[in-house]
Amino acid sequence: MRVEVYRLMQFTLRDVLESKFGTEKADEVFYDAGKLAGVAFYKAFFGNIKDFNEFVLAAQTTLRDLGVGVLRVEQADLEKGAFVLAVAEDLDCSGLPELGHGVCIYDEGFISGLLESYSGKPYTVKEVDCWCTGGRTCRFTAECA
Amino acid sequence: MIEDRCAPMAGSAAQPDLKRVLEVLQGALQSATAPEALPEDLLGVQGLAPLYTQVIDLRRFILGLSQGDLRQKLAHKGYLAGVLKMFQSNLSHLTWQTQMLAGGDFSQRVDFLGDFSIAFNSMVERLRDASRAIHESEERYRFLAENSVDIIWRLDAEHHIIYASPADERIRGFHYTEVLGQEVWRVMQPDFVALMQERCRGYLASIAGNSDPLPLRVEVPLLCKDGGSVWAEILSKPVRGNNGSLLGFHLVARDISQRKAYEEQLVFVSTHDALTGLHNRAHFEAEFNRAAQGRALPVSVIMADVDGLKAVNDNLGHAAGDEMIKAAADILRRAFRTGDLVARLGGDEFAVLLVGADEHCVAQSLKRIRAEQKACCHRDSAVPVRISLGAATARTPAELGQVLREADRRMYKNKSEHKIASCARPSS
Repeated sequence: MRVEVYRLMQFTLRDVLESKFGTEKADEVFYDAGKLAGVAFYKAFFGNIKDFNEFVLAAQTTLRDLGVGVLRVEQADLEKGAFVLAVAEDLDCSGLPELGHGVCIYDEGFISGLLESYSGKPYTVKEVDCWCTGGRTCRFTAECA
Repeated sequence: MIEDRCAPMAGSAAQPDLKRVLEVLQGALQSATAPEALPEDLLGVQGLAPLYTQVIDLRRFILGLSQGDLRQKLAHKGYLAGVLKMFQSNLSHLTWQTQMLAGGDFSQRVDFLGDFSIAFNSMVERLRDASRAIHESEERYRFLAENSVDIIWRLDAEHHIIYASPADERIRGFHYTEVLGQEVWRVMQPDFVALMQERCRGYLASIAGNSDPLPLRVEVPLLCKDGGSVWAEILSKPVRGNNGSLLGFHLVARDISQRKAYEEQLVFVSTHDALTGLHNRAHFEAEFNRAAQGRALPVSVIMADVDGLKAVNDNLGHAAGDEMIKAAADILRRAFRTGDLVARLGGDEFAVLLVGADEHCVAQSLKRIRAEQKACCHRDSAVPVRISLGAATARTPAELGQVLREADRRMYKNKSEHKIASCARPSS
């Protein structure tokens, strides 16, 4: 599937959800859907990995190969369960014009699902920079809830 | 356009000075001392204050990045802020990758920093190869150390054992957990420790200014767990750090107990008579010369000769003659203490060296010999043993040269007396 078609589907779906249930509810639906995808993705690709570095390497390789984005770790505190992650060439938003707000809610949920599956602990993920806020890469903070 | 956005200053009919605006903005971009806040005379220019604040914030952010501060936050959005944040993100990721690399993760690769990526990845591959080579080398040496028949110890600079190979347990019976942390002196027989410490003191002094000294080689009995000991040859070499400082020592200890037993056997053979087990002529002469050079006067010598050995050899055979010699040796051995030197000089001739013994002691010794001779005849009357004896004492160094000859002369005199007495006895 071409990126444009995927985005067309995602953003029209989002527009409809927003118009019917409001922005907050639409965000919630996208976050939860992304989380579900993250859990399924982890189960399918990284189920047997215990080492964090190995997990990151496998995630980088798989996400890049599938065209989802280029994952990079900026900070990782395994004891506290606090991370700063960046996703370049993000499937959802790279190249989009500035909108003044982030749009990668689905990615937030997706990363949360991955981290929760890896660590067994719930994570809250928040996008702090996005193409749609003028960034050239998407950045996420993830904290153990 | 800045000109379009300029509005008349509040409460003033004066137009904003475009030249002044450009000058302030140029200062914000180019001057190191640009003010943090927009100058008051321009506060009235619409939209200029937030723009100036953004430029100042970007300046501060760039300065922080250039100084390696990757934790700072930039609240502004937009293209320029986005590019800077991407740069910050890349550097942060690079920092994390380097931390992982330092932890031994050689899978890290950089693909977002142009030529730097090539250099970094090349460095990682070299580090990985070097690490692999070190690991293989360590494995190889560990295999050698763990399977060596010799004990291998590694000491720290204070002579404490920080590694002991499994051979230590095979040879001495101590598991390595019982040995780690011990001073190396505790592996040695306590009687030898002072000697070894003295030798090592000299060696340590010699290696202080020598970066590549010859290994120290010592032979010492090692203490075993069962209380016994094992002779070992220990080879020691210093281990130095990159700056030449002494980090410790490598020791290799080889079990030489068999060699030591051979050596002791060789010494015994070379100093003892094979037939009687007494000392031989060479050892007697060496000890006599040693006594002659010493100060332990008086020195006495007893010469002894078995009577009638030739007749026994001729009539009863050499085996009987040998038995007679052994019986004579036994008589002499019984008459003296272990410390006295009783030797067979050859054939039927014996000698006793008594260092520090005067004529009175010698007379007592001669009595003991006679008593033992009589007891021997009672025990085994088949071949009666009779010994001719002669003794002399040197009380001065000048007399030492004559003492052997004088003792010999007196022995032959005694032998003659025995012959006369024998002839005088009526034949049965």
